[in-house]
Amino acid sequence: MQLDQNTHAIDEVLESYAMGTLAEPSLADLEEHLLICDHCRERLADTYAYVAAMRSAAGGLDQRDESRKVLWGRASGWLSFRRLGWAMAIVSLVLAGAALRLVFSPLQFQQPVAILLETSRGSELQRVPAGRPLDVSLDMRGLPVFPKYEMEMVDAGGRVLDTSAVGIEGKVTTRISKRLRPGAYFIRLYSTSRELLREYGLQVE
Amino acid sequence: MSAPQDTIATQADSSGSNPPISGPSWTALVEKIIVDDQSGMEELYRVFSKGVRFYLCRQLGPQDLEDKVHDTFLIVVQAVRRGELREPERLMGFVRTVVRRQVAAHIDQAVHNRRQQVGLDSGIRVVDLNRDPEETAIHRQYAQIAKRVLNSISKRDREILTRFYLLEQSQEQICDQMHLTETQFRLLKSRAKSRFGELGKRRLTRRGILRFV
Repeated sequence: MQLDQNTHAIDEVLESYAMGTLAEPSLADLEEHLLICDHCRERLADTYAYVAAMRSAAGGLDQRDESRKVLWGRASGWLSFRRLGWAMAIVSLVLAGAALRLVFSPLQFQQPVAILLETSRGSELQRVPAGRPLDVSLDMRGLPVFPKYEMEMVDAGGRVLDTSAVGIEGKVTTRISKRLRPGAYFIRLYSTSRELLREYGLQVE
Repeated sequence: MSAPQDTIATQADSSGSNPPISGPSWTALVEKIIVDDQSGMEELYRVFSKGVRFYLCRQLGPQDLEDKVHDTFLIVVQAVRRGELREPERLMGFVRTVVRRQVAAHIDQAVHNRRQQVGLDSGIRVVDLNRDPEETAIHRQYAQIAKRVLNSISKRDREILTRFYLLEQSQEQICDQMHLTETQFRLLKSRAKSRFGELGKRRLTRRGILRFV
């Protein structure tokens, strides 16, 4: 159907013309018609505006999409399969280590070992496992009674490891939180006037 | 370039949406021009001036537009009088050919001038195709509306419109690659345009700069 004085161009033809994709002979028909048709010229002006707006908007969105793609590309490049594999392996190792630690460090190892230290003749050196806190009770038999005592813990070389004030109503107990390494240790009990009252031996294994 | 459209026309009617064109008889008009009838000249100018101005303005910009329109009419009239238009009923086609040649000649001249001026004048004068501030504002508004339209549709539909308007892929190519029927494609375009029209009408009416409806 050709354009003449009794017809107008359809929207798609105007759009195609505005986009520069209309081919002959439709192009000639339309351009001749546009020379004399106000109505189609107005529609074409609107179509130009519409196409330009869509191009501009689509271009903007396309650039936004592109920048997202670039960002994702960088991120995915950084998170390459190999790197992701390594990261997963490290995380797995850390988790496995934590799990092993939980399995092989049961609560009993964290609980203190209760011991009674004596100095009576013939009594053997008390033996305790290394690395555990100790709840130490001291045999006070034969000692003068004081409201308070001073306790000192030394290693085999005489190096002071811990000091504390102990003793309430004739009962002397103390918690040694320090995890002791294997070796011989001594706990000395003093009066408040720093008079050595007794020394207890302890073997940590 | 795409293939020529099978159907390019819709019937004019008196409803107002497709008003009929009141055009003269081309043969009678050509005869008047040949015999130097003033009314023929006036009629030729009345019928074609807007269309010629529109075309020249689109192609060459608003600079010296009236002179270019005038030159075009002189060429048409002189050619008709010299008997170069063998088929008077093809007057529209003849005017179109003259206008296109005018455009081509202006572009050639502009290119030539530019070459001549290189080296002599670093500030090369070019045709100012920039919009005036009002047009720029309207164009910006249109772009924002189009962005809203594109943001309001699905990603797939947006891709289809982007392929068509921005990447200038053909309808056939898009339909083929995106598994669309021709009807689906047309419907999507038509809906987007309709939405653009609605939003544009609302926004631009509010701002008093309505043109696109």
